[in-house]
Amino acid sequence: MFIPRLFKHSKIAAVCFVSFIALFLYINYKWGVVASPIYQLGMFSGVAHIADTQTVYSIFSDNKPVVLNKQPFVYNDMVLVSLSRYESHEQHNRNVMEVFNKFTSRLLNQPLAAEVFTNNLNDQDVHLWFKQIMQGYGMPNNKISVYSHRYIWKNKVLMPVNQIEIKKVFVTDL
Amino acid sequence: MLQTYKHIRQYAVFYLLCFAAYFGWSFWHGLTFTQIKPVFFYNQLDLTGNIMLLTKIHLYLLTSQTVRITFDLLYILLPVLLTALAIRQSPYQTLAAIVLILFNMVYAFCFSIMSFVSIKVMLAFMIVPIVFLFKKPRNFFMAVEGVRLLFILFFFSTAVWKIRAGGIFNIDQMSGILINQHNYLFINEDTSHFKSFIAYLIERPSLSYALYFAATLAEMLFIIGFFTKKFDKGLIILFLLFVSMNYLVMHINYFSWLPFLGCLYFSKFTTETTSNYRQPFNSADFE
Repeated sequence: MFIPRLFKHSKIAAVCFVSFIALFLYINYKWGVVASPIYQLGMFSGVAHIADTQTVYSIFSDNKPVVLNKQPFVYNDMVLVSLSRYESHEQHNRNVMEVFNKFTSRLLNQPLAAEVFTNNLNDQDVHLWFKQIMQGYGMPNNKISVYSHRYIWKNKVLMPVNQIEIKKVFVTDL
Repeated sequence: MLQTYKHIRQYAVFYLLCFAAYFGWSFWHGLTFTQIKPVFFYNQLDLTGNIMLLTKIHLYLLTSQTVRITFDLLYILLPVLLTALAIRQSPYQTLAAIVLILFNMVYAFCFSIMSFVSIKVMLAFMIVPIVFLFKKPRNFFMAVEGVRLLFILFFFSTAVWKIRAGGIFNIDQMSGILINQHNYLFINEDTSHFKSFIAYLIERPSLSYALYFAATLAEMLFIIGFFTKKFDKGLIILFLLFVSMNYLVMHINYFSWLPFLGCLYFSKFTTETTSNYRQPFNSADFE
């Protein structure tokens, strides 16, 4: 076994190795967070169903739909995950900050600075950023509109849950 | 076979080649700080990462292209430097490894909160350089075994999570995952073979679940590695199969974990030496 052999080789190294693993397990179990470079590796361990509702984004360039499938999958991920993160970043970052505030306020004697742990974004920045991502699709200077829909898998196709329920994510200037 | 400096050099070159291939792939797809030019971040429940954020490094990355270029350059140059120092058996190798590990942790965390790439994808670039902290073959090979154990633990734990979270007990699991992962294929006009293949799997939950079960079984088989090194070659093949299937079916690139395979390969050199190392002194030792 490795650990007894490591102990024979170097007691300090063995104690460090075991403490290293134990510390990360403690942080994970007790605090419910991870600490780089040790992570919780689920790899799709959570239960997923065919009937789960999916959030899908549709993107239009000058009112013409942008077909994502034509690009390598990396570009699709870049567009779709970025949009999903953009939609929820405010609430998400505040939640993360609250979790760490519980622990760090004791050490620092003050709460974490919101300007460091949340984004200070304006629409102009977001539009420029998304147009830059869309350069991969060869339409850098067009008016881009993004909408999110909820879909469900039914009868071998992905169908909108509700035709009315379409949410505007953003529409850029020309 | 004795452990030698040659093996340290070989592992350093293997690490550099894996890193260069992954970085080349990332650059080709526009996945560097310089290319993505992020404007916002999406924080993670990561203690170490949030301590890093206290330095406001992420704010500099969000606002300055010079900082982004510097980060990308360091990201490429540090592994080259480390490999060069390992090849020359330089006394600065340990220092270079420490800097590389710390920098890669900062880079990976910041990149994961500013792009769509998960920090877990970059895990090998934070963990594997630990072996280069040690210059003497004996210490180096102990570190190789330690990292090998961590890798096996990481991979085996994914199977444990699938049992604990219940994914493995759900026959719809893989079909549900495939819809979620590739939903954009089904809202646009597309006649690709890939879309037909994914639709075929979604419509056959038992077949797609068989793939999920096979992947979980592959992860679970890594438990063998805790007890023996005899099957490490088999584990290497299993892992290559796993990452290839992940890339082809799920469109997730875990080839960045290839540097871990060096631990499985090079740890075979330790067995003989470790046993020799513990042998009692004989008269030859005093000559």
